[in-house]
Amino acid sequence: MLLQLQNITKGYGEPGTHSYRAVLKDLHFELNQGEKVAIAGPSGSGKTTLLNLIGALDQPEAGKVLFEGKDITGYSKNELATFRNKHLGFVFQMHHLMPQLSLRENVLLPLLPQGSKITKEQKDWAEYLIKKVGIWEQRHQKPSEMSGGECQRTAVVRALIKKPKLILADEPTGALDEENAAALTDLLKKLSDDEGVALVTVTHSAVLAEQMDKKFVLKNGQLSS
Amino acid sequence: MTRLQYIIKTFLHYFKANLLVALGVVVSTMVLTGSLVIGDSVRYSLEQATFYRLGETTHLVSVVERYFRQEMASELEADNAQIQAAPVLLLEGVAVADGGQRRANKVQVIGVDQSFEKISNTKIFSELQNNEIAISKNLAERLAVKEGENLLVRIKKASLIPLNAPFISAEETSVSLRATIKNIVQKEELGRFSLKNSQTAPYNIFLSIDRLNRLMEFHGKTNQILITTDLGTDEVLKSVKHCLTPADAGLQLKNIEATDEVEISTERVFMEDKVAETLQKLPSAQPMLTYFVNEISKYEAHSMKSVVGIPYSFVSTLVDGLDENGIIFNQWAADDLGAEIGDSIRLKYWQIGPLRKLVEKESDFVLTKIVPMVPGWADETRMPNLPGLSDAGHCREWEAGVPINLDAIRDKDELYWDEYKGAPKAYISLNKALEMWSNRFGNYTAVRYSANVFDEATYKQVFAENITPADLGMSVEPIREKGVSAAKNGTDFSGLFIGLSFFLLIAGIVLTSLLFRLNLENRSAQVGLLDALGFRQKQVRGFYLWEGFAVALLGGILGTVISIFYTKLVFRILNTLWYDIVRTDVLLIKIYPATVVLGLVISLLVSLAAIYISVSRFQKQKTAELQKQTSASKSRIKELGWNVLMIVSLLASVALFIYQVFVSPQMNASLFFAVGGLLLIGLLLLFGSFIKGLEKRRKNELWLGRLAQLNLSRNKARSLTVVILFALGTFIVVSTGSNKLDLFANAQNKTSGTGGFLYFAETTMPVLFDINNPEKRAEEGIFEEFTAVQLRKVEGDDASCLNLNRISQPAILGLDAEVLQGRFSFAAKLKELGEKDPWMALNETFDDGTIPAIADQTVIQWGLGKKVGDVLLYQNELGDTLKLKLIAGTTPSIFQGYVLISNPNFLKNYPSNSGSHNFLIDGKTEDQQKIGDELQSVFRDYGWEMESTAKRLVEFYSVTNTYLSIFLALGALGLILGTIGLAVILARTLLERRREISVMQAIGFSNRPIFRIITSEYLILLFTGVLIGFITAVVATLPSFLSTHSDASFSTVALVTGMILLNGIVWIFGLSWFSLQKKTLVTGLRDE
Repeated sequence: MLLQLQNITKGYGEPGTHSYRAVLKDLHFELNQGEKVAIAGPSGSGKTTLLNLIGALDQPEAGKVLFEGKDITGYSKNELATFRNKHLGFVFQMHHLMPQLSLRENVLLPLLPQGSKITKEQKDWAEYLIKKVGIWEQRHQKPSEMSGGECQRTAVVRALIKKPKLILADEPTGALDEENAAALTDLLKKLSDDEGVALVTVTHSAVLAEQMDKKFVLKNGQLSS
Repeated sequence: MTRLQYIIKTFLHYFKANLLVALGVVVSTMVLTGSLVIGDSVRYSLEQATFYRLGETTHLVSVVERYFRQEMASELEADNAQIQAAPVLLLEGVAVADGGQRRANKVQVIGVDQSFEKISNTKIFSELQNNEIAISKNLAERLAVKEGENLLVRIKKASLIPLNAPFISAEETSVSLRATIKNIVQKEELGRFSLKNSQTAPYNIFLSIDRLNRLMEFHGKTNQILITTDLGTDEVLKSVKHCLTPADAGLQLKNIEATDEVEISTERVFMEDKVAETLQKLPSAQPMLTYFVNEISKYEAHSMKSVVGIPYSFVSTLVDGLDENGIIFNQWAADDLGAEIGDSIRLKYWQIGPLRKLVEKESDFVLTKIVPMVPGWADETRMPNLPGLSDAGHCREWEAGVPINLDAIRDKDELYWDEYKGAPKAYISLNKALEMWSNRFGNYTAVRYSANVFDEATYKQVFAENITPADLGMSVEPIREKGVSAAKNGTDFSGLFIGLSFFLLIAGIVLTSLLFRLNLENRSAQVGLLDALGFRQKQVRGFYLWEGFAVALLGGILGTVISIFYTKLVFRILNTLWYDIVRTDVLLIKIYPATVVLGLVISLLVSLAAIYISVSRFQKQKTAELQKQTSASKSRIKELGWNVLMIVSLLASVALFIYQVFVSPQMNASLFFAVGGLLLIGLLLLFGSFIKGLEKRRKNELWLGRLAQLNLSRNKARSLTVVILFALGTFIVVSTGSNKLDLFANAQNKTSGTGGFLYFAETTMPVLFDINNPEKRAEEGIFEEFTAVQLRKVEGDDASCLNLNRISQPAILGLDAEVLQGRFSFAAKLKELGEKDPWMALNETFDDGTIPAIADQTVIQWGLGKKVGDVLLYQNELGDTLKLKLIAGTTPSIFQGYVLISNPNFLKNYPSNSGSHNFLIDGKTEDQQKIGDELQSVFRDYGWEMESTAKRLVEFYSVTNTYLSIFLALGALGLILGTIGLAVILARTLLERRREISVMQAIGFSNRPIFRIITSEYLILLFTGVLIGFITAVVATLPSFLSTHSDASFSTVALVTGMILLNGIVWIFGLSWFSLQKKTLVTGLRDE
C-alpha cells in the first residue's frame, strides 16, 4: 500500500462556531503503488483540500495520512518538505512555472532543495523526459514564450524529475483547450505507466477520469466510487 | 542550474520591480549616510576651527583679573627645553571706524611679541611697531576697512589694582589708541585666535605687547602664556611653579631706612589672605593696614558731640602696644585737635560695598599716646600706593574713588601733605583695624620686617614653598586637548540629522518593506510552488533574502553616492538658510570611508530587516492558502490583544486630556504630547478595526459606496499602511509646525523668558558704579525712568545653543537674587526646593561649601550635557575648587549661555572682580525706545551692546526654530515619499483589479462610476490618514494652539498639509484615470 487516509476530518473556519464548515468528514482512502485514481466532485466539495492533505501541504484536523505505512501528519515542516521533494510530484491547474527560468531550468528546479550539485544522470533524465513529452526544441525558452500546452507539459516533466512515487494533479487539463487537454491526459497516463508512478488527479474532465484505474466522487465529505 | 543562478535570474527577471524597491533603500541610505557624513563633517570642522583659533598652542597659562610677568614665558623655556612659550596680553576693546559710523564691540585686543611666531607660524605679528595693528578678516569686513587705513581702538583699561578696591579712582575705564592697520589676518595666520571653545570667530586686533603695556601704564605684564609642548599638563604646571616669583603675586620689596625695616607690599594695594599668611611666616613679620579715613575728630562724651576734626587722613596700625579702643596721635594731629591723653576720639570712614556703594561708618577711641613727628612715626611709606591719591601733588588733586569734599581741606592740611605726604596721623590696633576695614580684596596693605632679621633668599623660599600658581588664580590647562574634546563631544549633528530626518528615514524603510511585500504578493504562487516542490521554508526565505540583499545593495550603493550630494546640499543650506544653527564659516565636508561603509552597512541591515519581516510575515501564511492567494485570518487572541490596546489607548488619552484641561492647574506640554500619541495609536487601531468590520456590516445592501468599502477591507494591511503613513507624517508635520512660537507676544510677562525686562545689555568696559544711584545718574546724564539690574561676570565659554562645542565651564553671572524673585519660569528644579522660589535659594550655601546655581534648562541639558542636581567645577580666583550645584533650570530665557549665582557667593569666590558687564533694564514698555536711546548714548564708550530681551530670546530660539524648520522640511519630503508609496499601491491594486474593472465594464458600468469607486476608496484612506494625524497633532500640541503666542507657522502647517492632500489627490485621480483609459475590457476579459 502506497497511501492510506484514515478517518480524515478537515474544515474551514473556527471549529465550534457558525463560521465552521466541515469539508472532509471521517474520510477513508487507499492507493496502491502505480495506481491511477481520479477524484471528481462538485465545486466546493473539498477536492483540492483532499489533494493538499495527500500532498502534505496542509494538515488534517483529525485522522492519519500514512505513506508507505508511515504517518506523515506528525512530521515537522522540514520533514514534510523533504518528503514532498523525495516522494511527490505536483501538477496544478495553472502550470506555475517560474517566469524567470527557462523550460529546462524549470524542470531542474526540484533538484535544488537537496543542495548537492545536479548530476549528469539527473540532467540526462531531464533530457529524456523533455524529449519524451516533445518540448525539447523549446528547452531554452521562457514560459512567456511558450504555449499553454507546452507550459503544462513542462509542469508534468517537473513533477517527474525526482522520480516520485506519487503524482498529484489538480485539474491538470482545466486551463487547456480540448486538443491540449487530450494530449496531456495521454501523457500523464503514459508516463505514469512507463515510470510506475501512482497518480491522483482531481478533475472535472470525464475524458481524463476515464483513463484512470479508479474513479471516486467526493460528496458530503466522503469518497464514493 | 544552481541556487545562486536561480537568485540571479530572479533578481534580473524582476529588475524593474526591484529597482522600485531599491528606491526606498536609496532614500534611507541617503538620509542615514548623509546624516553620518554631516556629523563627521561638523565634528571635523569644529576641530579645524579649534586649530585655527589656537594655532600651535597646546597649553595655556592664564590668570583672571590680574597680571604677571612677561618674562615667565622665557623662564619656562629655560626651565624645560621642551616648552616653547609666548606671552600674550589679552584685553577687550571696542573698534571704531569711519568717525564712529561703524563699530565693533567686544573686540579682543591682543598684545603679542616675536615669540608669537611659534604659535602662529607667521612673522606678520613680529613686525608690528608702535601704533601698527593687524586685524582679523571678519573685523575688517565688519568695519569695512583695508590695510593702511586707521582705526580707533578703545581698550578696556587694565589695572593691576582691582578696580572696585577701596580708594581706587576709576575715572579712566578705557584707553584709546588710534592705530594703522598693517595687516588683515586670515584664519590660516591665526586671525581667528581665541581661547574660548566656540566655533564663532571673534573680532581680533593684534599689536605689540610692549605698546599695549605702555598704554595700560604697565611694564612687562601679561595675563596669558601660550605654550607649545609635547609635555603633559602636570609637567607644564611644575615648570610654572618653578618660575613663579613674588613679583607674579604683585609683591614689592623695599627698604625703609628710617625705621631700619624691610617692607613687602602689593601693587594690588590689599594683600590676599594666602599671601599675607605666607609673609607672616617670616621672622619679625609686622603686618599693617593703612586706611584713608574721612575725618578724625575729638568726641566730647558729655555733650555727645564731636567737634569738627581733621579731614581726610591716613590711619595706620600697630600690632602691639594698643588695646582695642586705644589710638595714638602724632603730634601734628594732637596739636590740630587740641587733644590730650584720655580724650575720646572718633574716626569716620567709608565702608565700600559692591559697586562702590559707600556707607559712612564711625568708631570711637581713647587717645592713649601722642608721638613726635620723627621718621619712625611720621612715616609716609606706610601710605599704600593708590594711583590718583598717593601720587597727587596737592590734596585738592586727590582722586580717591570716594567723594572728597574739597572745601573741607584746610591750608594746614595742604602744608601737612607737602611735608609729610600721607604719613598716618593716627595709629590704632591691628585687630580693631581688621574689624573695621577688612574687605574682600584683602586685609593688609603691607608686612614689615626688621632689616637685621629679613633675608631675601628665605623670603623667596618661603614664597615658593607656600604659594602655588592656583593661589594667585593662575591656571594651567591643556587648552588644545580640551578644545578638540569640546569639538568631538559637541552637538552631535549625526544624531541630530538622523532625528530630524527620522520620518524621511522611516518613510524610506516603510517604502522598501511595502514594495518588497508587493513584489512577494505578486509572486505568492511561486512561494507556494517552491513549498510544494519540497523546498524548506528556510531555503525559500533564503532565496528572497538574497534577492532582497541584492536589491538593498543596489539601493545602498546608489544611496551612498547620492548621500554625498545630499550632504553638499545640506551644507549649502547650513551655510545660508540654516546658518542660525552653525554660526561659522568654517564648515568643511569630511568624508571618512569608514563612515560611508558604516552608513551603507546600517542601511543594508535595516533594509534587510524590513525585507526579512516582509518575507517572514508573508511566509506565515499557510502554504496551502498561498496556492489560492488568500490571506490567513489572524488568531482570535491576537485580535483581542489589538482591541484591548485600542481601548486602553483611547481611554487613557481621553482621561489624560480631561485631567490636563479640567483638573491640572498647569498645562504640561509633555503630557499633551503623550495624549496625542496615545490618541494616534488608538485612532489608527480603531480604523483598523473599522475596516475589518466593513465586510460584516450591512451585508444585505449593495450600492456603489459599499463596493468601495468592501474594496478597502479586501487588503486590510495595505489600507492600514497607507493610513498609518499619512497619519504619522501629518502628525509630525503639524505638531512640529505648531511648536514654533512667537516669543515677542508675551515678552512683557515677568514669568516669560525675558523676565519682563526690556533690555539685556553687555559692555566691554566694566561699569563700576550703581546705575540706579540718583546722584550717579545725574552725573552721567541719565534722566529716563528705569531700573537696572547689574550683573557681575566671570568669563567662560558660551554655553548657549549658538555654540556647537560641548563646554564644561560657562561664564558665571553674579546677581542679587532678590530682584529676580517671581521672574522667569522654571522647567526643572531640585525637589528639595519645594514651593520655594529658586532665585531665593541662590543665597544659600550647601554644607559642603557647594554653591547653588541656576541656568537655562536648554544649556543644562544640551550645552553642558547635565541635569538639575549636577555639579559644575571651576577654579576660583583664590585657587580653590568652586563647586556650583545646579538647583534649577529656567525655561528658555535670556540667560542662555550663563550660569547664575548670587552676588555674595560670587564675590566670595571672585573678590577682585570689579564692576558689571551685564545689565537687565526694566521700565515701562511705552518708554522702551527712549530708554534704549539714552542708554546707548550714555554708555557708548563702554562698548554698550544692547538688544531687547524679546529679540535676544528670539535669537536663541532661532536655533530651535531652525531645527523645527529642518524637521518640517525633511518631514514633508518624507510625506511626499509616502505619497509615492500610495501611488505604487494604487497602481498595483489597479493592475490586480484589471479583470474586475473589465467585468464591471462588461456588465454595463460606465467609466464614471468605476472611477468614482476607485478614487473614493483611496481618497478615504488619504483623508482618514491626514485627519487622524491632524487631530492628534492638535491635541498633542494643544498648549501651543491655545496660547495666543503661536506664530504664523500655522500657515506653514496648513500649506504642508494642503500639499500632502493635493499630492495624494493628484496621484489618485491621475492613476485611476490612466487605468480606465487602457483597453482593460479586452485584456481583462481575456484573462477572465
